[in-house]
Amino acid sequence: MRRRTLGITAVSAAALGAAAACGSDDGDNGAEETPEFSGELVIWADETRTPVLKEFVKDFESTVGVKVTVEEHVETLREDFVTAAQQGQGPDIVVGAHDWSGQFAADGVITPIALSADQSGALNETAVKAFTVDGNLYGVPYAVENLGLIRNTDLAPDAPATFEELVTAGQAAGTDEVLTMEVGVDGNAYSAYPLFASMGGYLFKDDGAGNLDPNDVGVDSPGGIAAFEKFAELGAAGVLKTTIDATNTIPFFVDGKTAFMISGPWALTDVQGAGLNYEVTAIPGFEGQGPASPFLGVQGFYISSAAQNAVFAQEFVTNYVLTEDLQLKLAEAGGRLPALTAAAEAFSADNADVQGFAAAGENAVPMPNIPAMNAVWEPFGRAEADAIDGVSTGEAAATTAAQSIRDAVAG
Amino acid sequence: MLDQRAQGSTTAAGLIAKIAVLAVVAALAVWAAVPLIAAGAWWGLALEAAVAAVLFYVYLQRRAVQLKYLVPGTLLLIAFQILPVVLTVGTSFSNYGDGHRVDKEQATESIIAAGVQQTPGGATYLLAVGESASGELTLLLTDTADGSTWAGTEAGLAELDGATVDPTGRVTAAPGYTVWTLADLNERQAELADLAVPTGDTTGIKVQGLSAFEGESTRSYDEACDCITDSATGTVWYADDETGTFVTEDGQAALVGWRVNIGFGNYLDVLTDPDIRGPFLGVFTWNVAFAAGSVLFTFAIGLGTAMALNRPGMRGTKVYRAFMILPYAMPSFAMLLVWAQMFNRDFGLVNELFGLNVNWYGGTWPARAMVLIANTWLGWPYMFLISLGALQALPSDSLEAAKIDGATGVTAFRKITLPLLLIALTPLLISSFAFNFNNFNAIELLSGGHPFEAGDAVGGTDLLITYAFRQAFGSSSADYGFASAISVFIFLIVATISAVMFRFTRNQEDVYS
Repeated sequence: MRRRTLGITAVSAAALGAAAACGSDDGDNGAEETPEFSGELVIWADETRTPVLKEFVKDFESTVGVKVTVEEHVETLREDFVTAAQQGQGPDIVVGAHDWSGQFAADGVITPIALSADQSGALNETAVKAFTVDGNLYGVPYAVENLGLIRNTDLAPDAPATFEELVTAGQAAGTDEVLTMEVGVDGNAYSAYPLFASMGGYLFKDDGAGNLDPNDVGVDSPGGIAAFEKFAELGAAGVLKTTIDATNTIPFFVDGKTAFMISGPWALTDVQGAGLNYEVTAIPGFEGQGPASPFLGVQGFYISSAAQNAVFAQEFVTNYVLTEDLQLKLAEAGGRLPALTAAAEAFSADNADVQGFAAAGENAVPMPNIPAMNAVWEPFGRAEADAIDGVSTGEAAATTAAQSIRDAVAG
Repeated sequence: MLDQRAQGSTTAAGLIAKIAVLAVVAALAVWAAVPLIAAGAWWGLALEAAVAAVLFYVYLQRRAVQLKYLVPGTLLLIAFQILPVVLTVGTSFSNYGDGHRVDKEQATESIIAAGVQQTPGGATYLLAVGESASGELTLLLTDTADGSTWAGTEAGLAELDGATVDPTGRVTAAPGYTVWTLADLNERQAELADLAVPTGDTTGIKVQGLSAFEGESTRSYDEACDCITDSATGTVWYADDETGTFVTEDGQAALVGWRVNIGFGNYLDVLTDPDIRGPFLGVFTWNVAFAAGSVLFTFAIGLGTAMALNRPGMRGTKVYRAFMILPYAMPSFAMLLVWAQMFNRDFGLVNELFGLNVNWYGGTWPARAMVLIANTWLGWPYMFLISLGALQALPSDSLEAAKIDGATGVTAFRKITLPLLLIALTPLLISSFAFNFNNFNAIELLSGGHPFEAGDAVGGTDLLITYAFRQAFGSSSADYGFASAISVFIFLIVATISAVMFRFTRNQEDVYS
C-alpha cells in the first residue's frame, strides 16, 4: 500500500508543481470571474468524437468549474496514448474502442473504475462485459456497433430468414454479385465471424462469466470446421469472393451491383447518399443452425493511470458520461446505438436503421479484448481466404489457422 | 577579393542574421530546459546546456571557420541518425513491448489497484473534503442510501453532526471544519490521494471522483518476499526480475509486467526461432532480387527516357518532362493503394484492360511481377531526373572525340556515356538499392507479403522488413525489444552490402578517372 501511495504522490506532486506554476500567471483575474481552476482535465479522442465532446464538456465545465480540453488524435490515438501514459504524461481520459482494454490494462496505463450496481445496471450488459478485464471494469461504455444485413428493397423486397434464402434471393435479383461481404485477399475475421458463429464455431472458450480462456481455441472445433467448409462451399458458388474487399463492398451495393451487403452503420452514409431504398435487418444464420451473431464493438471512456487530475477524471467518467444527454448526442454524431439503455431506447424510437442494427446485434458477442485476440485475426482471415479461393479444403484451413493461433498464444 | 569575402559576415545583414539565428537557438534552449527542470532531468539539462554553449561558442568567435559548417550537420547527424540507432540497439536488449512497458513500481501499483473491489452491499457516499481546526484532512461523506453524514479520517469513520448539505445531499459546511471548494480540491487532490480512511481490517473508503464507496483492497505487496498476495483468492505472485513479470508458483503471470534487460534473449530468439531461421534465406534472396530489380528497371527506363528527351531537336520536352514527373510527385501511399486495386483479379484494371485472368495475389511469381511493376512505375521518375541532370553535365568533348574516332551510337553509349554517367550515379544507385531493400510501403500496401501458403508465416513477396514487422507486431502484441533486434540484423545486412558496393565504386572510379 505504501508503494502505491508514494507513486501517486510523486505523480500528483509533479502535477501540482506544474499547476501552481501556471496558476500564478492568471491568478488575479480568475478570482473575479467564474471559478477558474489551475488544473485542467485533458481528454484525447479521435476525429469523429472530438467535436461532439467539445460541445458537451462545456456543461461539465460550467457545473464543476474545471477547464476541460479535448484534443484530437487522428489515426494514432491508441499508440499515442500508450506511449504518453507509460511516461507519466498524456491525457486524464482517453476515448476508444473496448478491445484496447486488454492491452491497456496489461500495460498498466489505465485504472479500474468502480460503477455502482445502479449505474452498471443502466448500461447494455454486453457493453459492460466488453470493458471488463480480469474481473475489473476498465472503461465506461457509451456506444455499441455491430454488423448487420443491408438490403436493397427494390432488388430484394423480403428480408431473408436464412442464409440459404439470402443466396437464392441474391441470385434471383439478377445482379452481378449475390452479396458483398468484405473478405479481401487476407480474409476478414471480423466480417466472417457471424457466419462462423452460426455454424457453431467459437474463438476462445467462454467460462460463462465472460472470461475467455486463451488456451482453448475453437477455430477447429467441429462447429469451426463446419463453418470453414461453408466458406469453401460459398466460395465455390461465387457468393463469397476474396476480390470483394474494403474498397468495393459499399460501392458495389450503392451501384446496385448486389442486393445484399453485410456491413456496419458506417456504410449508411454512402447508401443514403445514393438515395437507395434499403432496410437493415439481422444477418440470417444458416438453415437449422444457430444465429449469425456478429461481434459487438463498444466505444467508451478510459481513465489514464497517469491522470494528473484523477479526481475530476473519475467524476467525469463515472457521472457525466452516464447521462442520457451525452450518450444521445454522441449517438447522433456517430450513428451508433448508445450503451445506456434509456438513451438507446430514445435514440432508436423512430429510427429504423438503428433498430435494424440493434436487432442484428441482439445475439452479438463482445469482440474479445484479451491480448490473445491479436493472434486470431491474421491466421483466421487467411484461412477464410484460402477456403473461399479453394486453395485448401475447409477442414485443412480451419486446422491450420487453429494451429497458428495456438502457436502464437503459446508464444 | 578574398579579404572582402572573409569580412562578409560582419556586414549589417550578416550580423542581424547571425543574431536572429542565435536568438532562436537561445529561445529553443530555454523552451526545452523548462520541462527538463520540471522533470528533474539534470543530465539532460547539462547536455542541452553544453550543446547550446558549443553553438554559441562556434558562431561567436572568428576562428575555426570549418566548425561553423560542421557543427550543425554533426548535431543533426547525432540527433536523427546516431541516437535512433543507439536507442534501437538499447531496446533490443530489453523485453520492452506490450505487457512490459512500465517500471516495476508502476506494475506493482497497477496489480494492487486491480485488487480493489467494492464491498458487497457496502455504502456509497457523496464526497466533500474539509480540514478540521487542527488542519487534519477529513472526508465529509453523505451516505447516498439514508443521507446520514460521516467524517472520515486516518482513524476511521465517525458520525458527523450538524452538517449543512446542499440539495443533492453533499456536505457544504460542518461545525469545526473548513470545507474545501471544488477549486481547493482541484489544487490539492494530491493530499487527498495520500489519505486512507479505514473502515475495518481490510476495508476502507475509496474516493472516486466526487463520490466514495466502501471498498476492500485484497492485494498487498511485501518487500521481504518481493511478492504480491491476494488475500481474497489466496494467490501469491512472486516477482521474477529475469523476465519482468509477477508469476505464481504454478507459472500463471499477473496481468502487468515491467521492463527489464534480458541481455541477448531477443537475438537468440531471432537465431533460434524456426519460423524465422527457416525462411530466412528465401526471403533474403527475394529481398536482394527485389531491390536490385527495382534499381535496374527504374534506372533502365529512367535513363532511356532521359536520353530520349536529351536528344537535340526533341520538341515538347517540357510537356513530356512534366508528365514524367507526375508519378514521382504524387504521394506513393495513395498510388500504391490505387495499384493494389488495379491488380484485383475480378475487377482490376490490369486484368480487364489486357483481357487477362491472372490471380496477381495468388501466385508467387505473379505477385512478385506485380510489386516490381508498380515499384518501377513509382521509382523511375527519380532515375529519369538524376539521369537527365547527369547527361546534361557530361563533357561534350569526349563524345565528340568518340564520334570523330568513328564510334557508333551504341558503342559511344556503352564505352563513353554510361561509364561517365555511372561515376556520378553509382552512389545514388546504391542508396536507391538500400532504400528499396527496406521498401516497407511498397510491399505492405501493395501485396501485404502475399501469397501465403496455408499456415506459413512468410509470404512470397515478403521483404525482411515486412516480415520482421509482422513477426514483431502482426500476429501478437507489439514487442519492441524483438523488433529492435531484427532491425539491428537488417541494419547489419544493409550496411555490409552498402560497404561492399561503395568499395566496388571506388575501384571503378580509379579505373575511369
